[in-house]
Amino acid sequence: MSGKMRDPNQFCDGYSRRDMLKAGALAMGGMSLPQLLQAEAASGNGSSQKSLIMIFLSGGPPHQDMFDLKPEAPAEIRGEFNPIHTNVPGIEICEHLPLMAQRMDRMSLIRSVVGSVGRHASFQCMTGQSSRLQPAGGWPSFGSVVSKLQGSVEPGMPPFIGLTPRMKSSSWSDAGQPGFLGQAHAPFKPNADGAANLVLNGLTLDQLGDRKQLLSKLDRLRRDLDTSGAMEGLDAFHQQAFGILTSSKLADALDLEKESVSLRDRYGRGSAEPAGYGDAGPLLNDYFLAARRLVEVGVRVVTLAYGRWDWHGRPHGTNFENAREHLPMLDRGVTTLLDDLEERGMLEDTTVVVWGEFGRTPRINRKGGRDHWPRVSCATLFGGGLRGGQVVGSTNRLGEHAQDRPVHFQEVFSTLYRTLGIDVNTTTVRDLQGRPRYLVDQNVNQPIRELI
Amino acid sequence: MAAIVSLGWPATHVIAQNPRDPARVNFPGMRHFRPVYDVAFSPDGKTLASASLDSSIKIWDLATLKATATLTGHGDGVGAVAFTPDGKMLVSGSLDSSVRTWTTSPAATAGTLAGHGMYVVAIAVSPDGKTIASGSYDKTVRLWNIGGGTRATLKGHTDTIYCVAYSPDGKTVASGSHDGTVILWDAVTGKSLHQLKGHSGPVECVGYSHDSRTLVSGGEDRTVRFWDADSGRQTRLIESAHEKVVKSLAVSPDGKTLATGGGDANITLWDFATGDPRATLRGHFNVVYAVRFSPDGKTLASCCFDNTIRLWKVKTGKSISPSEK
Repeated sequence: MSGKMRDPNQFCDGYSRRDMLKAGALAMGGMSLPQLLQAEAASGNGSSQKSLIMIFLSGGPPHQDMFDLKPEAPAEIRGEFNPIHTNVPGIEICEHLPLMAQRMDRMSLIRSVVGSVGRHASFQCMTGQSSRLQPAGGWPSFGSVVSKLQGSVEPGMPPFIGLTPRMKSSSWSDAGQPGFLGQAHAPFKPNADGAANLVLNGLTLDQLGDRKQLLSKLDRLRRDLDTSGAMEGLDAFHQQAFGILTSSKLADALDLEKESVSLRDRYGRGSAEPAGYGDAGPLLNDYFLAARRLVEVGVRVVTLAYGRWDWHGRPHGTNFENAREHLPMLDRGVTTLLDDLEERGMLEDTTVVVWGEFGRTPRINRKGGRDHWPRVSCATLFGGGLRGGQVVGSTNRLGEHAQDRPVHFQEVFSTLYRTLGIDVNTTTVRDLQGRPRYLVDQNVNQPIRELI
Repeated sequence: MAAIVSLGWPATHVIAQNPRDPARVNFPGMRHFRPVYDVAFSPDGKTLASASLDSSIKIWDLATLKATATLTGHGDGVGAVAFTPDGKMLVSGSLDSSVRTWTTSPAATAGTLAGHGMYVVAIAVSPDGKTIASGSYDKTVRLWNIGGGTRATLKGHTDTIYCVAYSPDGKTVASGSHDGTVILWDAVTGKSLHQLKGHSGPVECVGYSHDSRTLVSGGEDRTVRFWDADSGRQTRLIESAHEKVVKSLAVSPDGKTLATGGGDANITLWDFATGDPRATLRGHFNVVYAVRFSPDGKTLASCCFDNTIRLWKVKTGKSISPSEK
């Protein structure tokens, strides 16, 4: 059995011992399911069910070709795309995002995201922090902080799930590190290598028994190796882990075959193959549907990496050739997610953010590409009670820098925390030295007032 | 019994990228999972080879439109592919900087020609099947013995080379470059015969008429230009041939039709003698990287950055769908 994407209809009669062993080492940043459950119990269970879905556009999407077009700029800057009107007077976006244009009254744009450290990595989008000068253990990601502060909605349901698959570029496949909060708050990553071995259909009861035995052996081994004492009480969590592995809401939520074909088609499906150069995320709209299903069953934070947006030009296709493939797929996936959340009455409780690590150069290079541009980028937010139909900030005539109302990554994080009921002014988490740490630079980066 | 848990999803294909056009829904035909950069008909017209950024070459049975083989071995995307005149071999150029030769029956690797310093994006095989011409981002055209070994390295362009073509009589090789020129080379001596200047931007595609007397070029300036191959003089100009770059072209075997593929996702068929447009073939959704006529001239194959390969009836301009086969 492959450890990668697989046909959900495939039966697993040929289960190998190795496959069984893999099931006990689920990809949760190196921790096992029992560890996760133990952490959940320690965290307690938050009362509300506010959630976040973060769509990370790996590679740095071109702000000026998506949400901040510059039709008056010279040809070498304005590019090939034209702006179109949205359903909010005065807001125009790219012609290849027509479905978003029809829903702009429920979405908001930030055209002036600043503070990027310019690294090709999801780190800043996951943590809000610079990867430089990190505290011991590293900065925790948003999902890990929420895991720490709010825990699971119910036992057996991870608070934080990263749908991002393993990629050739590991810095893009980072679904969110737990940092100094510890592995207990790492994301559960069902698409990481080995996780496909969770597929259980076709297993006999005997095989399940074997599996339980193998899990037991594996975790006993881990316990032997663990010198920190964090594995205490493992057996109870072990039982819960076995529950997740056999029948649980989580398992059902991840089984997209349980969803209607028509809804899957509405999302756009897509391909599980890595997009573009082959080193980044797939253009797989099934991710968006899976994210909604996970939030629906109680997952608080879902992150996913989508596509490959690092378009330096040929021979790997110009910025615009790649955009013609990516933008319509993103448009369909994101807008169906919005509609789906709304139709299910979940939109007010679910915040969605779509962004990348930086923007792209105003000037089109000689290969038809745009290069890295950390000075400014864009973000799209909707749901979570945030105001729609807003454009926050602007860039100058050529899209080079924030002209007014620069919005730092941390301001976006402050806003996201707020939608989950977390006040960045009063909330801290303790680092490895026991020192309380604010979630963002306090008194500087407040929630974006235009959106709340 | 245990619940069914599907934590991985199959590599389903794109359902809908342009919601305004239902033709994009579930395209049932020939495709790769990344952009397709080149296609080539076998000399007997029964098979088609396609080269993709997914690093593979696929061989398609044109009777069934099913892939019969996938050639892997290149270490990066495949930018160009061509059959030898006897149909026994395929030649490919890759972003891994190499040229490879393959046997077609069985479909297997035959050799690797190393020497280019950067991406190889253009390939042509001489009419006698003995020589390969390759164009590269290293600004050179190389002529190779098909069995191995460089015959000549043609230097003259000052920028990336995007296209090469052998004249049907085998006497000259044409190359088009980002430097905005076309150079005609003596295929035997490797000497530059003419440098054709007229395009105001990169030259993306070149092709010869069936009688080798006329060279046609297309480029980023959206023009198609006809040149007298002997004198190097421009004889005709089609301005605004496409709304965006003229990315690809081919001349029909009978010399009557010119096909061009554009950055506007359209294919245009032109009367070669007059330069008048005859038909516009719509169906692709992105830049059309290659157009090729079948040996009998009845079918046109096209490939696109939208990952698909399409077949068209030249006479009617209609798309050939799998259900019609």
